Amino acid sequence: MKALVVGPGRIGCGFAGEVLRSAGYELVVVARDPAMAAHLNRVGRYHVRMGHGGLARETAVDGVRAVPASSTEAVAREVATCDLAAVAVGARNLPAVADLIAPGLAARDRPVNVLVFENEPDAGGRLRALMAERVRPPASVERHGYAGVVVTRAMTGRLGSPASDRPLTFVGDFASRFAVERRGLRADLRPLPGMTVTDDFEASMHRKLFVFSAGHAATAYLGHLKGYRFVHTAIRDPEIRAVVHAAMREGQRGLAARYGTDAAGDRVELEAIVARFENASLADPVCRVARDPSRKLAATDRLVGAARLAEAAGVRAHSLAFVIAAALSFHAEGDPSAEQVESAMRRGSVLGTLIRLSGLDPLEPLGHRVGFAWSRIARSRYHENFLLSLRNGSWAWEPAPEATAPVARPADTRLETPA
Amino acid sequence: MRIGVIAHRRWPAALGPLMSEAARLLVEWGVDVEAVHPEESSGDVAALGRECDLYLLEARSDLALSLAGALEADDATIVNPPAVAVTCRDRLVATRILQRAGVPVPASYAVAHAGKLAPLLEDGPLLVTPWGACAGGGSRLVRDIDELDAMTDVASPVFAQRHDARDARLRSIACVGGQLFGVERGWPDDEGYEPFPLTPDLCELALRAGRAFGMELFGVDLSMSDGRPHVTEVSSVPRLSSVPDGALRLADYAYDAVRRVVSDEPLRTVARGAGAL
Repeated sequence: MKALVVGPGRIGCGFAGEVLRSAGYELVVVARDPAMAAHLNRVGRYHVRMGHGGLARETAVDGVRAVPASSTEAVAREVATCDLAAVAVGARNLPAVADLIAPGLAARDRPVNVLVFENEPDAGGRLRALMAERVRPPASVERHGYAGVVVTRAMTGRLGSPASDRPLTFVGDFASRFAVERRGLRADLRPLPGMTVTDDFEASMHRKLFVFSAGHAATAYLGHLKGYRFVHTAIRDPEIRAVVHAAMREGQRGLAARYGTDAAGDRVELEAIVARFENASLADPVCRVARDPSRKLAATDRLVGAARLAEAAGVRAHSLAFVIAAALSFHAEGDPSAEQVESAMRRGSVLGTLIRLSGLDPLEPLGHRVGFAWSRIARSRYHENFLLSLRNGSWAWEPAPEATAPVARPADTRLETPA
Repeated sequence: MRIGVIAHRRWPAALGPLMSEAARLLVEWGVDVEAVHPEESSGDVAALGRECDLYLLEARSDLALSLAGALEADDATIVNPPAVAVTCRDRLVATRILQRAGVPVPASYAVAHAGKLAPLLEDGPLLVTPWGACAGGGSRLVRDIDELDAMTDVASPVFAQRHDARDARLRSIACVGGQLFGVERGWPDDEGYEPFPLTPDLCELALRAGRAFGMELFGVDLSMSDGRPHVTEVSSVPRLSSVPDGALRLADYAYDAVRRVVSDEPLRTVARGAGAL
């Protein structure tokens, strides 16, 4: 049995590859970086290190070979002969993946499932649509499965260099469950460790995005605002912890209204998630989790999506609004997405930026809530400055009095704190 | 990962409250933290050896500085190098370094004994500090000859700085890996420090002082004279106890630093300024 993994990154190798190899599949990895493909062929294995607290486990994933994405014929041969395919390339790279795998899928006699490991509620459907644009006749796209996958494991980094002969190590936590979208499957899918197949994939994906991912992003953006370097440090700050907790609770309340309370999770789950953010063995930098804010501020993504769902349920998403404002203020050198947000903020208002980035309706109360939250941040939000207190808005340093006019703090900006 | 904290023995805890809390967090995050008490050392020079990936030098006694120096000779990485700590402790040298770096300092005098300060009192009060004292320890405000004559218990030589009588606040800036925090208290009456927001000018002043000594973990004490801030003292140990979440911030910095050391990444980052958005 052969499994093909497109994308040798943290999720591709660190999760999908490890699961598939442990289930007995031979593993073939398609890598865009020729150096990565050469490394995997040379070394033949990599490691996955999982840890939390004092516990750590390292798994060797062996029997690995790789094909560079530039070798399109070789990729097509592997696609045509694999028993299962997985894609983990970042959602914005799905069109390129569709180009890459289309010839191989067209050449197959047997149907195959392509598992799409992207943080999108309809990543499977999107890849299917992209394939329909590339295969003839378009209806033949229905022969193969394109199913979204939602992963619980947080994979935070990769140690080592493809230039080296030492195996790479992918670092993550112990979470091992993942859910596969049933409606996207076309071929039989053998049971895999930790896998469930779900009929309500959208709810599963939204639960991850609007609770775990929203909380993770909130910890990072607020941590950045307060000058912390690591997620596990930021979440130990009582103010940040309270807002993160409240933001995730807002996400849960929105989910409960849309999908029912069972699909939303409870306070116990929130505590378990916060405990995962405390996991220092990941040494997860705030800037890594916060990067690419323009994607994370998209209409359906973790922050705005969660806040809109909450608002639609009648929940005033104060805490998520504050986190969105923090995301708008995120700055990281070398992050084009952050520069894009920053540039938009320079050119226009908070509301204008949210309309552009998040497709927000100007009449939505969320926009105004974010505007109010921004007014608490904006006065002294300078690069290299950081908040000493979220609650009273005191900064490490303040500009000269004539540099900026004070911004009024409306009464509506109170942050929710967990009960 | 293992961090050694070179500190004076405290009771009942081995470290002071802030350092204890920072150490507790670091241990929780999987870092071994060892308190190194110079006064409890066996004294066997041959037995000295680097046992930690990174050291924090909190104590500033002669023995602590020598121990840190010996560890450094053994290729230990010390966040606040002992040579800099020694320089900071020598107020004459430190003040001259600050002056040469363009950092405003009060008029300063190093004299063989306190009596030689008498003529200087005609121009106003002086803050007189025994030689080798640090972090404001033992400093006294002397306004006239009577107060000077009363200083019979001050060891010679002494270091003195001009003091503006209108300045009733003690301000201190702590720098932790490029992040700056201001704390202040009323002087001489108040005891507890409270945070105060820095200005870009004060940030620049502190960073310039830190750069003059090549430090990224340090503290500076400030005085105001004619409405202008002056740096009165630089310390290789920042005053963090009154900084909001000071222990958490120190632990965050130390965790990053020890990770860098074990990953062979450079430890020091360029101290950052207050660049506008």
